[in-house]
Amino acid sequence: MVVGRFGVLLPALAIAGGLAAKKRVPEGPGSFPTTGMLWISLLASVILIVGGLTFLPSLALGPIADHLQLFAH
Amino acid sequence: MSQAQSLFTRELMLPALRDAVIKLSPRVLIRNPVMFVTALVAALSSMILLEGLARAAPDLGFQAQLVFWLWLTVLFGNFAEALAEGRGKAQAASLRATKADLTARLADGRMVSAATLKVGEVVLVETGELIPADGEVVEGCASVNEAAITGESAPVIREGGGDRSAVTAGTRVIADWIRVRVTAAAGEGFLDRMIALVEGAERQKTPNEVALTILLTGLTLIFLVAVGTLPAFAAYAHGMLAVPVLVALFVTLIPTTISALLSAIGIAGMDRLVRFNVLAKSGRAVEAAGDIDVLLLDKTGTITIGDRQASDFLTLPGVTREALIDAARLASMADETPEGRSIVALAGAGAPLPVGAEEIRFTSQTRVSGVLIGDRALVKGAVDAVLRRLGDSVEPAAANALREQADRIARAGGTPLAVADGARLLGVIYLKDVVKAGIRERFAELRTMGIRTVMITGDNPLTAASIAAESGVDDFLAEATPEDKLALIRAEQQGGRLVAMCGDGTNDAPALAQSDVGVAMNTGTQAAREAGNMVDLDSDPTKLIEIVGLGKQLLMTRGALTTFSIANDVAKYFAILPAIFVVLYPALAVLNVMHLASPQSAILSAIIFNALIIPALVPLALKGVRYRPAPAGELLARNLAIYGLGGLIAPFIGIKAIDLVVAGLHLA
Repeated sequence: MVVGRFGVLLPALAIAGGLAAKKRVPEGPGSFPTTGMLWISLLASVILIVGGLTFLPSLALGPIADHLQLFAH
Repeated sequence: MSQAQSLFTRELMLPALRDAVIKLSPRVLIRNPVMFVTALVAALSSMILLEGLARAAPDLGFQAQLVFWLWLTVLFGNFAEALAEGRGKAQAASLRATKADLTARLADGRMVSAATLKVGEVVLVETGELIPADGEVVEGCASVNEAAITGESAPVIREGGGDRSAVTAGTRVIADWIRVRVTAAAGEGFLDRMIALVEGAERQKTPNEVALTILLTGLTLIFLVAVGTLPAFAAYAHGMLAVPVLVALFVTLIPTTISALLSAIGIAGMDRLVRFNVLAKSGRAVEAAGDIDVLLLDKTGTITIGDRQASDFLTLPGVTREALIDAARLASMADETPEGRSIVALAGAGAPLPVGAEEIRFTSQTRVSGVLIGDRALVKGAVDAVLRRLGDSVEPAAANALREQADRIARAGGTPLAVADGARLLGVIYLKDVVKAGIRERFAELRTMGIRTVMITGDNPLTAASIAAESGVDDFLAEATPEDKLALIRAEQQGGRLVAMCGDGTNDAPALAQSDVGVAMNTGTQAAREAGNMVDLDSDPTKLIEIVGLGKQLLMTRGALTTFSIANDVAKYFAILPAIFVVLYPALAVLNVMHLASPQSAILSAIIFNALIIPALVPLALKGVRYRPAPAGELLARNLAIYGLGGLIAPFIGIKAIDLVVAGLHLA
């Protein structure tokens, strides 16, 4: 449980620290716009795919299997 | 298709296949964590297979095939890297041929082997001899054939003092002699570094590659945990999962595709630059080129042609335009300089020079040129020089009108050239710096890519502004000294922007060293070549624009293949998960959306697809994704559609096709 909590927490803090230490890059005409639909769909699909890949095995054996079995009976 | 064929010639394939096996050494593999893990689990599966053989366990045929494809995955990864290196090695071999057996003549006349030369020694190189070491010309002037390194057969002039003093080992003096002070010991010269670079021997991971490797290793860890928890779920359902099956799931999930191709992409990026006759001293420089925000471009040679060209004739009051044009044409007929030829071209057709016409040659004292027809002198030259030549014979009113016109031209950014017929002033020729054709479009292209261009010139601000407006650069730095250049680069970098520039002189060296991408011209001084992080062997400053494109292409290729690799995983889940668990929960068969023949063929098909996709993508990794200048958002949208969406869909089709073959051949 300790690992489950802090093993995730500490790397996330390290990433935040690393980002804070980076120098700022001014927005220019070459920057990628982070306000349009493209950005929203990109961010959403990355979260869905990477999250899905991480949890799908557990989900398939837990809730999904449960659901399918209920229907089978 | 000729390019695709040249990637896979027999001469490149056979050594690459051999190297792929040699690279199985753990010491080499550890540099690529994901492939190292793949090799580890392949070894683990091999041991389980051997143990199974020892006790004649059932189902070994399937296990043996899994082990076979696992090792093939690792080998394909090694093969991609070896093939990329092989292309560099082929180039290095031709370079090395020029380096064989160089000898040097010392100051006292002794001949020694070039390998024994020390830095600071002075050697004499005469006509027909090869220059034994990199160095600086201290005395003499010679024409040198540098085809060995540049591929350009026209000789170049190398002389002591000034900006053309650097010579390179292995190049040949074809006329005259030079004394050269050695600046690099044997094995550390330009050619040696070039060979090491194209061979990839000095290859270090670039910051971008390190970051990507960390991400991929992180993903590998996540999948290790995800797969590692499965036996517990299986135990709950009173089942057992075979280790080889878990291994298969794990290997298909971890990003093997991009990891296998990562170094090949980097090597191929450097290689594309070398083919383009630009030598990057590190992969870091190539990557930086792709992220450039500001381009500093020298006016002369990059934006303008370099020679001034006649663009108009302006008459003085009381002079007909025809008289001026005729006089200007005649005065320029004997003048073979680009300026003179441009005047004749602008004047158009007319009478030839009369027989007996004598040329008045340009000298640095008189600073005028023209012709003498009988006793009629037609001259052209700088305004003050022409006025001085005419002396008191000139009318004061005409002289004043001439000065006024000259001032107007100078303000507009041009150079005025006065024309006189005998003692009579006719008018001025408007000489103009000619902006290169198409350069405006190039700058517009750069602007859509989000890159700002700054023109650097020694001209006065008025001239600079007019040329800047005509060529379409975003900004300019007039009357620029090397210190101004350096200050400008520092200011841009303070604002967090990456700056690229090119230069050749020793006084460019500090700015070249300060800039993020400094392209030194090969014809430049040794100091400039040392300071820059790229050297352009053709000494063409316009190439800076293409270098940025190549850098962007490298970054985009890496991003595209990473996206493709991770998007592939979705289909692999749908292939393997139902296959593994359908025994425990028959209802999960609905997840088998591809309707794969059997659980075993599903697992095998996924692992075969995972292995085969690596060589299938090698041509793309080596050639790079197609690149055209466009705004960042547009490029991303296009590449996401091809490599993201394609990466989601392709494996569904690929795995299904392989499954049909596997089931058809009764392999599983």
